[in-house]
Amino acid sequence: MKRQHIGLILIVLTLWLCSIMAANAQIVGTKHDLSLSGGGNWQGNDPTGEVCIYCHTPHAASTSQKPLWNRATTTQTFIPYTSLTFNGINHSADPIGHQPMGESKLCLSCHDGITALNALLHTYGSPIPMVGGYDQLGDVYYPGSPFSSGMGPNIGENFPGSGGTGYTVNNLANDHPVSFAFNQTLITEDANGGAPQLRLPATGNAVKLYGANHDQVECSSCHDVHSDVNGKFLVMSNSGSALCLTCHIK
Amino acid sequence: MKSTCTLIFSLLLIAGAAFGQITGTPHDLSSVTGDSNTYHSTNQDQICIFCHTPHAASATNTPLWNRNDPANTFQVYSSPTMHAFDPNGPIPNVSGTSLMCLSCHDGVTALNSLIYNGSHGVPQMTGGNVITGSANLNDASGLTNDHPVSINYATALANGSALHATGTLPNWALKAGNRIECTSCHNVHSFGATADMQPFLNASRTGSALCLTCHIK
Repeated sequence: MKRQHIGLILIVLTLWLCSIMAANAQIVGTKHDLSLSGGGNWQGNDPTGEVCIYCHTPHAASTSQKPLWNRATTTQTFIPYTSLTFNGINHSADPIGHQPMGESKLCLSCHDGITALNALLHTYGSPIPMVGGYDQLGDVYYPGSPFSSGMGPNIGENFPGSGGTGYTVNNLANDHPVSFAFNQTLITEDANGGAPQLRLPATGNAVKLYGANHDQVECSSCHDVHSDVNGKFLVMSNSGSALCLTCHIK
Repeated sequence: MKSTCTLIFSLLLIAGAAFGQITGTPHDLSSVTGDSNTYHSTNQDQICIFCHTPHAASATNTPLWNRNDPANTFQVYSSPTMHAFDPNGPIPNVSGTSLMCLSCHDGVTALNSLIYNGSHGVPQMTGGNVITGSANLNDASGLTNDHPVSINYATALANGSALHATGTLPNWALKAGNRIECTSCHNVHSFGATADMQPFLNASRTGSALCLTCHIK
């Protein structure tokens, strides 16, 4: 009887430990883990099973992008989001239209749908082939794709039913804008004489702003590339739309 | 008898490989066991001498160091998200044991530039006397595209970097003064018996275990 109790306690303890480990889960095993034991459809056929290499390298890294960046830069010119009520784009000094910059450009070196996932600057020996030859996130919408259709990780797509037609790789017009300055100037302009509709995330908030002035909204403002504990790699739970309401007063 | 000797010798060789010794690795620049390497000597059959000497060694570097530190300073890595040094202070240069590695891997210093040459004289080299290609860390970009070294891990940790606590790390990770040096990742004497332990790694690349030893990602 006593031995049974100890067994039960051990089982409970193990389950508890497992749940703690899951809560602390980092990139390993998530969809951003492109190794053979990763959690997504796209996997590098590398027997060593490296995880970090798809974005980082300790040597011979990118000279223009950090941290120790190991990916080729996307060459796409993107169609930006526009709206009559969105003023952020007016603050861009970008001469070729509002293009993703900074951290967001790093994300789009996979999520543009067309840049090869295994287009790396530095590997050990030969390039890493992708399982099945599926080396683009855009593979999801190719005719005969082995992946289910639906909201995929190709941010540059025309989502079926969105009104857009055809497969594309550079369409950010249906995605929340990134790489614009979110500051008091924008908040005032957006309010247009009325009550503010926006607020800056408080210091220490999971939602961060980037760039030299710490005022740029980038993909990383909402997403934590390394952790999927909140689902969809969000920086915080979006239960009750808490993430959206961090900035939007609605 | 001969076959017994051969057997024993073979076993010793296997044991040597299993224990991951320097003999025959790319760090073996000798004329005999290192002769399959790109860079090796044609007249110096000793292995250790390219880094160590039992006498007349460096007055500043240990252990019994037989090389001079590179004379130049290096362009080093920095990033807005790296917190290993005072952002308002000067960026520290490479120092300590990492300089010893760079006395070959700087792409400038001659491989045969030894403090003490021994009875064979200056080692004659074939395949080049200066490292080029991927083993030259000080390429056109300097060290700006390489993982930082000679940085204080405890400082980075204290400034909020996503790193494991110092006390939880294996003994090879942190060097004197809680510093990260080349040797935090690399074991100069052991090439690695399996591909995941190469080149000269202290832990496996499988599942990026080496990276995740320090980084919480």
